[in-house]
Amino acid sequence: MTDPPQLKIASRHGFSRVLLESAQGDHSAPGAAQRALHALSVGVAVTTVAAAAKAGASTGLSTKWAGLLVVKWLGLGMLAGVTTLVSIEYVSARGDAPVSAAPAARRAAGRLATVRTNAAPPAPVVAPEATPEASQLPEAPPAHAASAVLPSSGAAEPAAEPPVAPAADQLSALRQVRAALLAQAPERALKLLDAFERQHRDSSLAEEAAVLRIEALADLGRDDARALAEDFLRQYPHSAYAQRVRSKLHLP
Amino acid sequence: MSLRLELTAEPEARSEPRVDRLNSAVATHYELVWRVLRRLGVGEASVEDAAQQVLIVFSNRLGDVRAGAERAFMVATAARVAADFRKKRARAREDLDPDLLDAVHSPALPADEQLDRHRARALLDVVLNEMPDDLRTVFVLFELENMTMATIAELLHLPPGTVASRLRRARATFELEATKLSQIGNQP
Repeated sequence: MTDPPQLKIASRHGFSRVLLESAQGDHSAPGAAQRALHALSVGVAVTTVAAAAKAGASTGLSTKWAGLLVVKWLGLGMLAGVTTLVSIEYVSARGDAPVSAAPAARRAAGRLATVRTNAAPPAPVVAPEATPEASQLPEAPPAHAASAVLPSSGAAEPAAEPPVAPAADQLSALRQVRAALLAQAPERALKLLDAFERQHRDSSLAEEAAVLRIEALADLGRDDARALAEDFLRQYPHSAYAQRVRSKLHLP
Repeated sequence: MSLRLELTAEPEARSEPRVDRLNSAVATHYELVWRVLRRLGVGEASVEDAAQQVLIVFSNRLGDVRAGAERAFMVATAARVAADFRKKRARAREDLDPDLLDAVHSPALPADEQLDRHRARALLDVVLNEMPDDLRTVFVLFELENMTMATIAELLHLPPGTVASRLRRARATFELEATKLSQIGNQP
């Protein structure tokens, strides 16, 4: 099997090469591996503790640590939840220099707070969707057959989703909207946005479209621009366009 | 006393070989797992979570993974986790560069030399998102992870011909979508 030269070297299109070379800067945040390992090692330990507790063994755990087994109440039954939950506790209890937990761990901390606040019955508590549960975790690949877990065109693939317009088409459509705004034709921009939203209902560029709509409405002096902007900021509180929207509508 | 020793109640779990193997695997392969997840479509904001999922799966299955197969197992798991993330994501907001809109609207873009890496990286995601999962996985491993087709075939347990075919189709898709994007930028 002879390998072809890589596109970032051999492509006749300079733009392709630029795109591929842009991935060379991909790397994890400093300390990410250490954080992952830390959470993992604690998780290994807690799994064992949970098993011991279940068996009624007296392990001499402090009440505090035993309390962590409330995860059983949650019905998580999975290592992910336990790992992250305890990781937060560990950092807190030791009073170590701040160790920034992974995002999953931070969410787990929030979940823990909820459990403590509602210290009631060990009824099943639905965990936030953002943190995958055991049943949601992808199945592990067979140890000797990695290919079995790979996405493929086989039967494991989900039902086909509705066709999505090529990204280039969507970008082109929004570019026209932007051009209309730059040409001080906000009414035309709105019409183009209406068409865009009809054609691309699940567009990954919906946020951009929303920003452009707010700008168009604001340019027209319409009162609903402000309400739409406020809705946008509620829906996308961390949007990269948040400041742009606030500035346009003079919102705090 | 380390937390691990305090909490571990069964000798099996604190088995030094097991801990050493976990430590070694994470130290050796974490960056690869992170990159593969990122390049297979997990957004910047979620990739650390996704990597943690991969490690958890690996940890749970450690006893089943034969020595030397750690990388293959973790890459395969990462591919699955990435696919899972993409399916659950209603919209690909986090994958888009915050400046993408401005990048696209800039009259000077996307002239190659004027695309800064940040914007180019966002557009790369846009192009990669056009690929089916099976093509994207092979494309990413070959074009971005610099793996040979033989390695990919071994890693993914695919016939060599399948890898070659997927790579060929993936490259065609990539070139087509990249060309479309560049033409948008070159429009008057």
